[in-house]
Amino acid sequence: MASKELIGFVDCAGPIPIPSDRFALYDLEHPPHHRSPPSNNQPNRTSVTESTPPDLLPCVFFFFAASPRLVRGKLATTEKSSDHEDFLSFTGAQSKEEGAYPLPSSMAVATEAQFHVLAVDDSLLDRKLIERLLKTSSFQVTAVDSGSKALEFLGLHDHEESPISDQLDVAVNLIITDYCMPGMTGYDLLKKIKESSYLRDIPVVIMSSDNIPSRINRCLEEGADEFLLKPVRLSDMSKLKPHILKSRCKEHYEQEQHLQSNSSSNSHKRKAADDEILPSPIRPRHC
Amino acid sequence: MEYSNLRRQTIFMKKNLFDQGFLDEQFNQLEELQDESSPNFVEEVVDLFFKDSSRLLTNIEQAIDKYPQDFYRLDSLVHQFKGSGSSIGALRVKNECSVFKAHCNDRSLEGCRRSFQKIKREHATLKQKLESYFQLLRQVGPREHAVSSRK
Repeated sequence: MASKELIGFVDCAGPIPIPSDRFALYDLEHPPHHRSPPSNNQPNRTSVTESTPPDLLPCVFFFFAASPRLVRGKLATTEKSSDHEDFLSFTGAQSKEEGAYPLPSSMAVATEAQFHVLAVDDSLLDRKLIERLLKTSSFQVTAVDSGSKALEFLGLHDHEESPISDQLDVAVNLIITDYCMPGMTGYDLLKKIKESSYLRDIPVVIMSSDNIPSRINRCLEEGADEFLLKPVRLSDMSKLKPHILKSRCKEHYEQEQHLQSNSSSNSHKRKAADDEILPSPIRPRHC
Repeated sequence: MEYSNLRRQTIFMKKNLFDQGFLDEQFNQLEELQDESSPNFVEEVVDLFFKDSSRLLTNIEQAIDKYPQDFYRLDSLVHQFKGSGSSIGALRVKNECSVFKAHCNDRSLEGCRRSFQKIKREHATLKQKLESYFQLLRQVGPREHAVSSRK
């Protein structure tokens, strides 16, 4: 199979505003013979220049719900290994060491966007249950057993406000957490998320076995999008997607605002070995 | 013939478990989550419960016998137990945990002890009944699991 060329990528990471130098587009539909081969024989790095044939532009874009930074590899994603391999050959990942664009190693290359939910519960049984509920409802799931692990996964240490720059993270579309947990409760976790400018737009759902109105109100007031009583049921899963879509609409709107104000910096070059000149990104409408 | 007989038995057994209050609707929810991609889900979850609960019961017993009594810790342990029980639909176990918690609240050690004995009994009975139920289901066959869970 012909290797495909990277003409760029799109960073669709959650609510994180995307700097204009992060834009690029993956073209998986047009093999390299449609364009003139790069003269310096660097298959992994392709320049998107003015000489790029215009017919390549209206092609299939894969939008990855992940940051361009490397993933920790703890994800329980439902990737297909063949797609994964194609993807790696596509971007020449064997040349990761050559300074090729870093790839999320456990990222799912899916033709349909699957929303990724981070589930937090200290009970193994409940984690198994919520994982099954979410997967049955077509979500990708990562389950962790504590609030601090959740923050770590999100790229945030619980005593810092901004993500550590070399910390690995992945886009999460929704966080669902148990309320009663030792150490950091679900409420504490909710607060930390809402205090973080990077994470606050991710919808948070709280689960609790106790029906205590004051607790429910406190969580909603702190910014929780939904409060579910345990045991959580399959019918509760349909309440999650609206919150995700709502936050993505908001995110797209904000990004477009950002793009418009940055339209002059489209030709801004990335650092290091990157010689790409990036076109204006074309985004699908998710909402 | 034998097959439909077995199948009838499983239906009857399950109905009994519900009628006698051992299980509630949550158990049906678990069955609904079982399919070809996760064909043993219910049994796996139930196994997890019994593995976890044995440990919890030991901890609760130790906490009851400890002096001075730490009702806060006792309540916390039983709360966990109640939560797991509720997640698999173990109704009687869940209800007895609520009674125990009420005794914790009243700081009644004697009440806690009595309630704990009941919890242990309910737990053991449920374990035995569910083991029989799953054993029977296995005889009926995996296809039947998927069919019977579609109601």
